[in-house]
Amino acid sequence: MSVIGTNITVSIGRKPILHGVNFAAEPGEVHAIVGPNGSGKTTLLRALTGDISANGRITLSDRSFDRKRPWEMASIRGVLPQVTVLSFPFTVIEVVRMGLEAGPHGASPEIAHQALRDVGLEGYEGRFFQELSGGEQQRAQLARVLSQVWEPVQDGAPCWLFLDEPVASLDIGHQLGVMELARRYADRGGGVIAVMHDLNLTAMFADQVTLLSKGEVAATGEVANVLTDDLLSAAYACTLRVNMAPSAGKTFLLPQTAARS
Amino acid sequence: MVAETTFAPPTDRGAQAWRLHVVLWVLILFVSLFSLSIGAAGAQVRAGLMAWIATDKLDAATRLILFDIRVPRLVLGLLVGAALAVSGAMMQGLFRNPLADPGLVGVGAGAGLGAITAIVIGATLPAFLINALGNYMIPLAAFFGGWGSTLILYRVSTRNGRTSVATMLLAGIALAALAGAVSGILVYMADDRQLRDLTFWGLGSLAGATWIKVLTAGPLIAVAILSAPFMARGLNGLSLGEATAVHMGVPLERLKTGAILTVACATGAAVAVSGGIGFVGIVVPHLLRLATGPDHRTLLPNAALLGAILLVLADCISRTIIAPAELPIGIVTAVLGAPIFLWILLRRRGVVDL
Repeated sequence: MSVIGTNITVSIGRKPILHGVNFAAEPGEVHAIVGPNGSGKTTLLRALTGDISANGRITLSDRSFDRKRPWEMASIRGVLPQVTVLSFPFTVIEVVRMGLEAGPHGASPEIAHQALRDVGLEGYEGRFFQELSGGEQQRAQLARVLSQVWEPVQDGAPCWLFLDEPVASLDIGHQLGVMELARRYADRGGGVIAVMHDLNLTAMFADQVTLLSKGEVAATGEVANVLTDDLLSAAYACTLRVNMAPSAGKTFLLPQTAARS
Repeated sequence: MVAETTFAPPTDRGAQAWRLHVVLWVLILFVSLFSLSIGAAGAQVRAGLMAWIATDKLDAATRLILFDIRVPRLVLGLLVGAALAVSGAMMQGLFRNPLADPGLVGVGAGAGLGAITAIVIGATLPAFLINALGNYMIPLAAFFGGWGSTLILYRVSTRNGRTSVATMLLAGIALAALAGAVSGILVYMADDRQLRDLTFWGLGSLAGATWIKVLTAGPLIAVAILSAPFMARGLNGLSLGEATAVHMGVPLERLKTGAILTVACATGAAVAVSGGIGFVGIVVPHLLRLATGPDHRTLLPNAALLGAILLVLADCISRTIIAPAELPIGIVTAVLGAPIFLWILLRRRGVVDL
């Protein structure tokens, strides 16, 4: 029932982006993909979702992705892109309903409203999507994706969320809210694969981490085994030290110590 | 855009759109009756109709005006108006852009080239082919011309699932210029009889409406209009981008092929029987999006109805404004449509990434 990518190689133009990446994610877990800019995080996610053609083998539940029709895939997998440009003046609720009707729960319109409540956009139903701020747009898109695969387990099989930097344009409160949504989705049996920039949030919410560097897997495994001084320092090309508080008197803020109201 | 931030559309624009759908059907009825009863010999027709209702007898002159001139013209107007508006809405959905219109971006010119080719070269085809195609030759040629230009336009202006407006409009200009140049060469090659045919065809009006034209264009337009709603959900998904559409279960390649064929069908048939009539395809979908939102499930059927209504009204104007002479309908639609097009450009710069 897992998502497995074997020996994924991607070149865009003549430039090789990924070299023989192996990747495996299990349902019931949040699997974060981290790495510096240009390491191939988004490319890996897009290869896994079939947006770009990749050499190698990518399977979902032992079946090759291309064997499935797009509407079959849509009923078990929701994909959140980094940015969505909407070409016509749809309202927020219309956008969310599009996702709802693309999945197996089209007959339950109340899900769209619940999804908007979950992402903190209650009362935004009638607003034009284009008039939202960047962070609000991102959360509205998340509500669309959530309504598409609303039940983490559908007909006994896990559903999947593929999230490309889901918290990149959000404030810290909404970052925590969105990551908690992803966490709950995994806890209820679904699978979550997320490209992450924020290592603190990754440490807080992920079960598994794949660290990419220069198009290759630098490390993969549980958070404590991947987010280490040596691996991170090598990948990000600067000296990083985990679990180290700054010297006394300096202000610092960690999501780990936040209490959500 | 400041004014609009405080304006919230009703959350259920869908129900509104279906109410509008009913209203538009009623309007079509009224506009049709109006169109039949005005124009040259209007009083005579009205008197004849009254007599028909009163005595159940229709005199020969009224019958001729009504059933050989007015009714085919009305039906052709309804068909062409619906075709232009639906192909505009489809093309805007496909190109993810509210400014795409077959008439503006060279598809109309391509269809025109097809029609001209059929008129000039058609006679040199083998006799069995000419007999087999009959009156369908010009509409079919226009369809292939429109299809080819839509395909070229899409290939040129869409890269990685995004259509660049600038490229689309510029490619449209180039396509229209090329089609115009080749058409010019063909006109130069044409003999006297073909020149006469070309002139009549190129008048760009509904003046020459006949039942034959209705029967040749009708099926193509009907296919286009009836198949459009099946692509509505896909076009909605496409408004979020190609990749997202696929992730929402839209069969992308099939949708694109279907939409391009539909646009070519409707544009080709409309151009073949009425020459180029501009701006219907851009104004009608835009007004509907303002009124009831961009959901293609209601936009496409409503566009067909409103397009038909507006074109028949424009035809009424073109027949009466300088009576007994007739103003080409393309002038009427351009005078009404071009300012609206400019207004869209000014107003939407903020909302839609142009």
